[in-house]
Amino acid sequence: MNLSNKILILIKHPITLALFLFAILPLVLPFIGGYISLATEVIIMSIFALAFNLLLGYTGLTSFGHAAYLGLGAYGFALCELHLTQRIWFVPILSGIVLTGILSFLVGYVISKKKGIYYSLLTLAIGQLFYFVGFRWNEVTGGETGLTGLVRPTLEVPGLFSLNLSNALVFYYFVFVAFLLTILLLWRIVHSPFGAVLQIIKQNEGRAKYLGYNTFWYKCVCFTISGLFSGFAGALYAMFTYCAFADYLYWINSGDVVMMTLIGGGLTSFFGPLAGAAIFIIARNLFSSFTQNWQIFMGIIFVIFILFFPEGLFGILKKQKPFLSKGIGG
Amino acid sequence: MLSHFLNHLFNGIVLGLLFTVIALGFSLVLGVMEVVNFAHGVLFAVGAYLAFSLVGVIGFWWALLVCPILVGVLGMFLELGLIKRIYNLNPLFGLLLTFSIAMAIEGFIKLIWGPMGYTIPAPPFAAGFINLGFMVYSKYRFIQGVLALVLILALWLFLEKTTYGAVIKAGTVSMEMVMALGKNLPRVRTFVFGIGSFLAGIAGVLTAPMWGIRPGIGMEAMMPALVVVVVGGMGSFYGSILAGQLVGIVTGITVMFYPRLSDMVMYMLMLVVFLGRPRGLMGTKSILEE
Amino acid sequence: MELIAVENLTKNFGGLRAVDGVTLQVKEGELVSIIGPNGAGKSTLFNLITGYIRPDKGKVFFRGEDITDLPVHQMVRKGIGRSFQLLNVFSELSVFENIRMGVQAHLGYGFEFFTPLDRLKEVREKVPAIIESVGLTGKETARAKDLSYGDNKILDVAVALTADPKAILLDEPTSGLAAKETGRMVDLIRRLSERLTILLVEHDMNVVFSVSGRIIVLNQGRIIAEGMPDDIRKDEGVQEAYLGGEWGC
Repeated sequence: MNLSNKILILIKHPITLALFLFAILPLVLPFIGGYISLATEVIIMSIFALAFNLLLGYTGLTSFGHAAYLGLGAYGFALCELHLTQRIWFVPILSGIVLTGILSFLVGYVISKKKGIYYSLLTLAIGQLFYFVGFRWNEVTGGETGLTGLVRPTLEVPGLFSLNLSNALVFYYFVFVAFLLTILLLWRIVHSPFGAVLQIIKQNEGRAKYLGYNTFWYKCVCFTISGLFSGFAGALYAMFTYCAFADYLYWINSGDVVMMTLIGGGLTSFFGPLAGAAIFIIARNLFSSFTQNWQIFMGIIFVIFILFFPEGLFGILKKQKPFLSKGIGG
Repeated sequence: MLSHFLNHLFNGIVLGLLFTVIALGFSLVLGVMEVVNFAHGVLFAVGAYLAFSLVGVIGFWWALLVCPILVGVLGMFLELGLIKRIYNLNPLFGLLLTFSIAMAIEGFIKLIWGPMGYTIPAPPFAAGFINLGFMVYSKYRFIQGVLALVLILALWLFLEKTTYGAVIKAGTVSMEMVMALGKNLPRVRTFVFGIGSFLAGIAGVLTAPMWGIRPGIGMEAMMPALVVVVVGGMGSFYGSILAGQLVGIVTGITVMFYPRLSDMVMYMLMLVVFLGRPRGLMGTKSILEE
Repeated sequence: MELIAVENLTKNFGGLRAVDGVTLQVKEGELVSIIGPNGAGKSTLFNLITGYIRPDKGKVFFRGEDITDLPVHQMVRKGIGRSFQLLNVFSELSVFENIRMGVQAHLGYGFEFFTPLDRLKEVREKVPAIIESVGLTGKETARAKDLSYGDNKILDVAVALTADPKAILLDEPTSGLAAKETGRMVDLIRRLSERLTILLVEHDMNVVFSVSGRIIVLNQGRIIAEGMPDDIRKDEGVQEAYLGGEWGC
């Protein structure tokens, strides 16, 4: 296949479109009443939603306490900065990822034998436990006040360049690179043999076992991968807000990510969570600046979606444009 | 020291009874309709807020009757308009639908009553302390406990001794049984949701003087309901009583010895039960296991 | 050599004894059919043998090895395949993809995270042979949910074959099939019986008598008769169990 064909394929790839849209987001948002930080929140939550959808959309597992893993990422980042180092730019982020990865593996190990609503309620209980540990363990997590005074380490490659991340736009594009990494890795994972097994577990776990797959480990590893990327998002979020609060882990935030993923169309599309995150966060922000009663509107919109469009936005779109379909290889 | 301990213990018992009342409404809906009603907490909040508005007007005892009825009616409207559309679907949808409804209703609460919190004092006749002989206890808490007990008993009598109650009990086992008994299934479901909402509302009224009134109490009340139902076993009446007491007493005692753990203790219990006996202490197999 | 052996297998569901002290053996290369009225415990027996549910009492042996407590995925790797009474393929996937998932498992793949699925050439190359062996050539890209019921039943068997089993358990392979489709399935079963050991549960007596070596009759969880087709035909206890129903020969 020659070069121009390859370039054409690259351009037409849906990821390219998604990346393009996110690349221009902070430049476009101010025109509709938004601002750069809003775009940053959207892109960080998009990473979180993509991570979440690995469980929901691809494996059919609903985690109702997933905000905990975002929060753990934030705590990991904060604790590293406050106790280890603030200077090497990737170390606090890595700490957030590692902490969340370890804990989400442990959780995954404990819950992956369960099914259905028991699985979801179990994740809710565990999420709340993490929340209360954060809320009450004053010595470590700052309790109700949280951990504040964090910094954005200078992005440094010795001898090459040094970038100060305190500017909002610069920071956005820093997160954009993280987003790029996430989307590429998750796309690869989802289209790999592992991803294929996740999808058949969603369709028919019993049969998957009869093929010879030890589905327990697949679910456990999936949860861990989701946790790792959620922790990544959380670390970025702490970097974004300069602080880490127990509130990040509260179960209502978990409900929010389920909502945004579902409404965007995570059940039927890789890109659904992106649409959902963008719409949820932008809408919430726009509504709340117009009216005190944004919660009523959001609630009603969700009700409408769940009753009439459960396949979400991308589900509706896909009926028009099959290229957005996800399938496994082949 | 002993009276200190007894005080905490009794607090735990009363708390447990209140948890049981909150949980019973939730459990009924779960048992009969197999819907995890995440709006249950916010209906509790509506009860509390209505009490706040009406106690000054009609007095405590009337409020105790009227407010829950209003909440029950609200519940029935919700069921008729929205909830009934998601029966027999993946339970996830019921969960998310009720979660969204909760969000909207909480928004309404903020709209009508404002986002700040309020307090309502205990009714005058219940202020102060009561002498129980072996100890002196908060009169209001004592009355709460008694009222909760009366409520639980009333519900028990309704379910066990009335024909309609028997129909509802049949419904927690299977819907076919309800139809076989010749009852109109949709109407039974609406009524059950109404009862569940009524129970949420009355729990809200009872606890308002103690826990304060803020928009967030709805979502906060959701958790104990969930924990009690899971620990006690989905669909089990006695399980909800047992679990309510378990959670209440353990929480009450933890407040005395390790106050920092007191919020968490119920989730630890939930975890332990889930891992050891996933059906709960007295639960029976339910369709939600699929 | 006994390939599959079951000893005193018992399973209760609440008060109901679904399988009651069943003991049977299947020799290598045999085709044994299990028949019995509805509710006789046939599917439960399959579930027990394949590790989908645990017995209350008794043991299951495969090639002399005790596999009673093995989880399903390990048991499959020992060499037992299974098809299902109710459709159990991956309906969103194509025929090719369904079979590929089985081959992928069999070859030990699954935890490759970054390899594009197509890169597993070894897996891809084994699929056409299996599709051909069951007669689904030409339908590789069709999604399972778009196929006819008959094709789906055949696909179900094909998927069971991906584990390269020594023995295959077929749970009512012809249920719901029209006459022509039934013929197709019977041909497939005959072809498979030339190289595999087969344990079959069936309702259709024509099928049973035309393919089986031995027949085992189950009623209310217990074996009430065992033998060659002619003996079973004549057995009064069996006829009684069926209340003169489905012999149709």
